[in-house]
Amino acid sequence: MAIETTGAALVMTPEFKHLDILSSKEFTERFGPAAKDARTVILDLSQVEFVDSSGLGGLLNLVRDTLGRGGRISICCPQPSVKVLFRMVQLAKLVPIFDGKDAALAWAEE
Amino acid sequence: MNGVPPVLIPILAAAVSAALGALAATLAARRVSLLPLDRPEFRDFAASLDGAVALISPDLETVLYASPRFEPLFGSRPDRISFRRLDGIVHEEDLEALDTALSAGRVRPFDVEFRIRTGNDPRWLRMRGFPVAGKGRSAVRRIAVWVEDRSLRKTDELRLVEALDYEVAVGARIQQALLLGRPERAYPGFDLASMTLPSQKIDGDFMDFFDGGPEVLDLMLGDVMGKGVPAALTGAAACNAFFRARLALAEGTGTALPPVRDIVRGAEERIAGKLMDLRTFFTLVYGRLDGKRGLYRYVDCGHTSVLHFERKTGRCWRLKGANAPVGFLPEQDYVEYAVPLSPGDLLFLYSDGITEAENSEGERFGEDRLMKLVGAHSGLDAAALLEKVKHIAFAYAGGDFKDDVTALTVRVASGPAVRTARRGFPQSMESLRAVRDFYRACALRALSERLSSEDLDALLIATGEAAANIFRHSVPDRPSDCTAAFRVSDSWAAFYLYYRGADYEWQEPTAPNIESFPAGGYGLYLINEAMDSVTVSPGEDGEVRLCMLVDLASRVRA
Repeated sequence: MAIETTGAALVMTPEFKHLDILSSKEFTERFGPAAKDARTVILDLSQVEFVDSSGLGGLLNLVRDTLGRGGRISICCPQPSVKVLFRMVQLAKLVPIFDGKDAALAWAEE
Repeated sequence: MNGVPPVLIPILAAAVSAALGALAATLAARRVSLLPLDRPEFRDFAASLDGAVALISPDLETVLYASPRFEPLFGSRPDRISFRRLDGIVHEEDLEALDTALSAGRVRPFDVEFRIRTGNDPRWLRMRGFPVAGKGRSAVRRIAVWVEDRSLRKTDELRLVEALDYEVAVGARIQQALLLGRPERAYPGFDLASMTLPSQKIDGDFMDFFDGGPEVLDLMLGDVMGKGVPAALTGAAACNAFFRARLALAEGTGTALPPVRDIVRGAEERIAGKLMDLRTFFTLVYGRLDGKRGLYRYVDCGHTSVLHFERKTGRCWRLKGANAPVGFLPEQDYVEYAVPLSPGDLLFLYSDGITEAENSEGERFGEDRLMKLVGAHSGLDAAALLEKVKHIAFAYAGGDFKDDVTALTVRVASGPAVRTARRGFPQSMESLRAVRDFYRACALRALSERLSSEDLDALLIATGEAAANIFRHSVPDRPSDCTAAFRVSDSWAAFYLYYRGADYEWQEPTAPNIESFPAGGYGLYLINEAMDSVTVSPGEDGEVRLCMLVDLASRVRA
């Protein structure tokens, strides 16, 4: 797991190849506490090849907690399969989703 | 009947019977030999009765006493009647029954009906008799009888029976003429047979076939709530609604094969409101056999499950639906399902007359028994299989079906070229990623040229969701394997998972609202969104088959 501060944003890059029912609990336990003090969070999903509904649940927990404490969160670099899932569940209604990391960093500076 | 309302007659008769019994006991106690109803204090009472009281000697030869109504009822004076020789007085068909009853009447009470010859219309009499002790405990008993005229009531009863018989006959004729269609021609790809065994009560089972082209046949089987002519007429109206819906859709769309779901919806528009007004409904399964594509598409509206014997697995599976019967709701969003068929596969459609047939212990034949039976005799041709099922179910029910038995069997003789892959896995969450990889390898190899990458990704998300769902909710009691399979033809691809577990509803057509951060509910939605049909079919002994089908013909590669 890579977590770094870049400009105004906390950029978190999960190194899970599969964010699914087998790994979503670990994702929540590791990334939830790490993001709890950040005002702006970027979730870089470039390493994640597959997300299922349980993995989506882990992402939604992070989004809910961040927005709930008045923070901002976006997602960048989703792989094609993950983009398909996000489109099917209309995740963009909740979270800005950027194809590239630079666009996400620019969003963080707004 | 004059003076006494008919409803009071049984009460009066019972009162008289009780009085006779008490009187007989009193007489016995006082050692009096004759009933004293001819005494003044009883004479008015006896004359006022609509029936007659009489006392018959033990040898049946003599009428020892008769009240005034005896003569008009029998048409002869009591002293000229012998109950040993009633020829010419009692109708010849009733002589034996009356003689048997009277003979037994010396030792126990009896109740018998018989006809008195009175010209054109016989008079129906009912006689209830009671043994009355003579002198001494061992004395031969005499018989006290109460006789009443049942002609009016008997005529009404006979008319009612006649009317019911007539209704059954009319209902049966309606059913045969209007409700039980037959295919207009033979289909080389299918061996098809049907049967109907009408019960004593017409059930309103209906069945019809619509030709859809060289290798396509639509078939429907339905069952109207209730029995008799009303059910048969409703069945006829249902057939008519489907015929008209199909015709209107064919004319409107210019295709001979309107989608199955549209046909059911069109029929519903024509009849559901009327059914609700009449407070009735029917169950139905409307299916389409497509021999060229090797598919069975169907819409089920609360009917009995279609049994699918699958030759490749040697197992029988129940194809269930999620729709309510037609007439339950003003309108429904019907779910249409599709399952692949292969040569050697068999479909068995039936009405609940088979599964609800009861043996002498009141135990129903049941779906599990039927499924085992169909599976065990799946090698027979369609007609022979129906015969086998009929004989076994008939024997089970002791030769008497309470409801109509309607059944239809289709054996698939040919089909398109299909490629298949299958692999076994331990049925546990540990296998999840391996199962996903199996489906992924199959799909990439067979479908990457046929589908857009987005469609392909959506399918793989769906297969992963399905496997996770099963591994999470269906945990076998003991270590057990499941089998993942993939089959693909020119026009469809199907992802299967055969497993052991619970059967539950897999329909979730509505997406959860993401803005409310739902805790779950996405899995089934993703499966149904990506696939064109999802069927979960229980088999025997806790086995379940999941079949997720993609209609390749309806997908355009981006």
